[in-house]
Amino acid sequence: MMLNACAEFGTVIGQAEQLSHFVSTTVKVWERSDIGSLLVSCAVDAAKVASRLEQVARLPFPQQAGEFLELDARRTIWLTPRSWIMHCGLEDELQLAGQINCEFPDKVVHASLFSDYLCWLELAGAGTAALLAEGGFISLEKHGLPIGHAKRTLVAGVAAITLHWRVGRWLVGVERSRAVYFAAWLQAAAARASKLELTG
Amino acid sequence: MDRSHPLDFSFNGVAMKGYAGDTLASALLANSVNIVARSFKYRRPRGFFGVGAEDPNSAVAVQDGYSYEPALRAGQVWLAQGMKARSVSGWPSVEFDLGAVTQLFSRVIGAGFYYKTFKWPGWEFFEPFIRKATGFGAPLKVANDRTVQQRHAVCDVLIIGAGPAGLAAATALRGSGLKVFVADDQKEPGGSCRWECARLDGIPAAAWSRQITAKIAADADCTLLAATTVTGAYENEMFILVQTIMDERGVRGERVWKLMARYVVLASGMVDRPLLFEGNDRPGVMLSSAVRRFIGEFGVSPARRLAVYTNNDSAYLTALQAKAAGVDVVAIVDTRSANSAIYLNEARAVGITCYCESQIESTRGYRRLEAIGLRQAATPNIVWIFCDGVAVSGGWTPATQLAAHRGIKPQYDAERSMFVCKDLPESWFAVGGANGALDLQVAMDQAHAAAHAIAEATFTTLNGQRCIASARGFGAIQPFWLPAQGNPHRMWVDLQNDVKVSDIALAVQENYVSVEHLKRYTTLGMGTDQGRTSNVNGLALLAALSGCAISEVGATSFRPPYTATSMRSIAGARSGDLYRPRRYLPAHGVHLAHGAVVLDFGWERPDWYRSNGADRETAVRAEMASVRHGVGVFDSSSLGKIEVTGPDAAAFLARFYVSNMATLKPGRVRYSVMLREDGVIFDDGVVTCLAENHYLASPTSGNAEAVTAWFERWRQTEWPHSRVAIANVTSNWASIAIAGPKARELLIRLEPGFEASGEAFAHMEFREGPVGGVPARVARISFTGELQYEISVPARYAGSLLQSLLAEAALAPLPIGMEAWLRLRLEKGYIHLGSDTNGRTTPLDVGMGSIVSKRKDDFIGKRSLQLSFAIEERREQLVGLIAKRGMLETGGRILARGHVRSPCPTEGYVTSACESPALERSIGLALLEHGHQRNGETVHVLCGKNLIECFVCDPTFYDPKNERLHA
Repeated sequence: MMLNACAEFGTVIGQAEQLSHFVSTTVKVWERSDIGSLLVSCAVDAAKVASRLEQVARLPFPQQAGEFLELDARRTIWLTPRSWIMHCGLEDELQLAGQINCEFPDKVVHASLFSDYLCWLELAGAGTAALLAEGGFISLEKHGLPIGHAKRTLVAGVAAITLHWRVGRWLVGVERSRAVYFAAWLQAAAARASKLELTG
Repeated sequence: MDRSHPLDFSFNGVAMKGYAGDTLASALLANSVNIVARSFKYRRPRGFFGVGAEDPNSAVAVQDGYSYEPALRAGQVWLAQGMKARSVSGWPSVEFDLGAVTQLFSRVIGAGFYYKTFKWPGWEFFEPFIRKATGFGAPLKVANDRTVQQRHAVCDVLIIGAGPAGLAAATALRGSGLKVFVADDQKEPGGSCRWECARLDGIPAAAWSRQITAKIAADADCTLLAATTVTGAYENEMFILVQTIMDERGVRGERVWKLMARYVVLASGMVDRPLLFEGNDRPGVMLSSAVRRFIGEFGVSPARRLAVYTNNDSAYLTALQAKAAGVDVVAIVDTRSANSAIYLNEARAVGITCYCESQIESTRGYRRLEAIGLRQAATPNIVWIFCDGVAVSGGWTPATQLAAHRGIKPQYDAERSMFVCKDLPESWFAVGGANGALDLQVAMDQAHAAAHAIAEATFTTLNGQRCIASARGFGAIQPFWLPAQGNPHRMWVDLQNDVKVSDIALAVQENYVSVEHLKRYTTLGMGTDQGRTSNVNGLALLAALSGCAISEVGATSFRPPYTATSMRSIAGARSGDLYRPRRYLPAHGVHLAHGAVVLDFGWERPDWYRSNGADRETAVRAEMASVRHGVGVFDSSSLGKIEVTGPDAAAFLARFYVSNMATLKPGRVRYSVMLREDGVIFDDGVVTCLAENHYLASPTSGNAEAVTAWFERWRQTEWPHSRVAIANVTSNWASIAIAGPKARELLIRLEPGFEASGEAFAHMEFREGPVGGVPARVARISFTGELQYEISVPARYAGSLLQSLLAEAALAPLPIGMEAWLRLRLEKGYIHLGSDTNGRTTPLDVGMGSIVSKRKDDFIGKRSLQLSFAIEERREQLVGLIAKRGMLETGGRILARGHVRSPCPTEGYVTSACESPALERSIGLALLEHGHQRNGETVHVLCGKNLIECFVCDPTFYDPKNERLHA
């Protein structure tokens, strides 16, 4: 017997697929069900274990608030002073978690399976920043969230991890149970923006 | 104004014409509309008094091409094609209002009339009639096509007001690298530059403001928000701005900004203050600055024959401007001596008659001003001057409301005869009119100085030059508060609420000496205009009549919003399905496919399934029967899942739970409750030891985030050296519970990668391994009293797991909804947090006393359980109730011993109740005083209107020996 996996918005699991029902002239949205995630939590000061962690994961772990680093299609996102989210291929999740958890059998560091906790949406287009800014303060910096930075904040009343990934491209991780609401809100916000002919 | 672009609109059903750029007020004036509203109390006719937010009179209902607003100020409404406006007061019409008969009784219905009169038989008797007779505007069911958008932004400097001072500050800051927002409530920035005769940097002020506006708009670091009102200032320099987005059909949208700023330049200007005189409320009496703006910006004169009444020099400018525009200016009446009037000769030179050291003592006219009677100091007789308009200026009131929102109390500056904010926060700068500047160059210099101070604080460099202004100043003000002549019963202080000088005198006579009390007693400044034109006169009168200085009286408080803001704007997108974030189960679609009736339990969860019965009761009974006799499938994905890891994880968890989690072995599960510091139950649930130093806490669905935060708070604040990590992974896992005698059989159909027999996998044990070919965590726990497994798989498999379980036709599993699930646990006597506990319930009250007493070490809340409140005899304790006959209802009150009818004292209440199929009786759980000692006692429970006789019993109604769940 084998259970079947299903992405939150019904897209093909393991792929980046555009949400066809999302209508906007300035923003496009993809469901990124190809992104696997781990939540790496430290029970001690992160600096004490960072190098071991980097060795076993073969990835740099950012130490600065709001930073994320990428290497070989994997990504580590600073979440709190003692935790990170790791992005990897969906199929690599279990193996990577196993490697980290074997390295730390005393659980000083633990990698929790996290691929299904957050529904990752990729947003791109000229209106994306304005669309997100409708939902909340994406950043308290005057020039907004710089490229290469991530922030955990409320967007539309929903806790979200927002990555300014590339120029005009954003990744937003929303807790899975609230993803449908968030997408509906995004659609409504996009419709309002379109109605007011706003792009920036 | 664009006179090449005419617009059609109507007012009170009469078709009229205006032009693009008109406000509704200017268009109505141009169409000779005289009476726009009626006053609140005496229903006196009211014309335009101000030009914008300060106007107490011009509340109108407006329908444009997009929506309808029941009460807007005509001066704040921009004219649109096809706009329909109507007065919101006056019956049968604003022109002829029967309510005006109340004027006949004005002497007896003064201040405090309601409080003194409507006492018998009670206020409730009169209230409906009074409510019906009052109000400004009513909602109307019309299509709403207006879009509300929200926006969040952060900036270095927010400049509030784009008049000359605001624009000067913006110009100075431009190019500094600072991110600047400039907000102005008018469609076109410039403020008084648009209508005052002045030159800035050598060019006409209007041209200067257009130049500056263009430069600011083109600057990437500057954001210029026209038609945007800053409605509120909050902590941490957070502001709410409402931006109006218009087209020819009207207001098609509003954008609500939440803006955070490091520095604030308050350049919100000031408004004219009226002078008091008899009959000063007649249509035709208008603020002097409003007259100047109507003429200067809109090219419309509020009167054919205009008189001017003043105690300062600014009104002379009004007279000169009106004269230059061709208006017949019949007189300037100045309360000051000729020596004080700096423009006196100029006025006389253009043929305006000036009366110095004079006062208006009386007026004539009812529906429109006809004449003023003035008395000169040197002559005993009243001189009547025929005119249909008076421009009044009694000084100035800086618009400091936004500073007041931040708790800044304006202070009286006797020299300038106005209230100004002297104790602004370091990051705030008031400039121009908002700072009481009466001279344009002073205003510009203040703006420049503010910009420099900000630059210095932010280590930036300014490039802009000081702006040179050439304009006539407003001169000096000689306060004139309480006229010696005239009838105080006919002098209006607050035109909207009909508060007169006599009302304030009465309040003072009745010892209302606090300005806040005076305000509430007389309703001074409590209208929708927020007393912009009435407050200061009211305060000054209070001071004069009570014999103290104005500075001693103080000022009233201003609170957000600065001006009327629609509920639509405040709500924004939060309506309908988007009212608040909804949470959906990962297998939501599968539930719907099985006919789930979904309700909001914090998560959208199936309450019952139509596939199980035609109605709720039938379905719930079928679902319960399925669990008791076969197998039921319940989605418990919403239950919290918090991974607690680290070398100190066991000790850490032990501090939170009443049961000692430190002794929990890998593969075992334990149920317990956690307490707040006061000993009251905060949450309950099971904790699983997944492995050494690795635990999974499962709080209730509604508390997952709160418990995570609770853990984290204690870890960070009290035990920072504890080697623990906390990770909320609730949504990562979908959990499907299978319960009933056939549950094991159903589990085996999923081909678990572990031994599932009763001996190998006992109650309160946990297994990790593949189920259905995917990674899974399975706990054998029970909420129903039956054999039960909770299977957790990554959420992406939720739908498939649920579908697979329900597809096992041979076992006939039914999907189980919340109602059946909760009734099953009620039969078993398990508590449901929030239903069977309240804000006082301790573990001692729910039968966990023995667990508490066994704990030797400490846990949060333990000490409180020894306090007298926790062990007092009269505590409500959890008991079971079995009805002898009738149906128990949740919330039913248990009558005190010895009572069999209500009203009477009560001793507790029913916390959960249902008709139990297993017992075939109505049963319930209850919190009952001395409950644990009352087993077997009969009590009476008032359920609605029915009195139900019940036995008190142990809460466990079903399988008290736990044979079924251990099967």
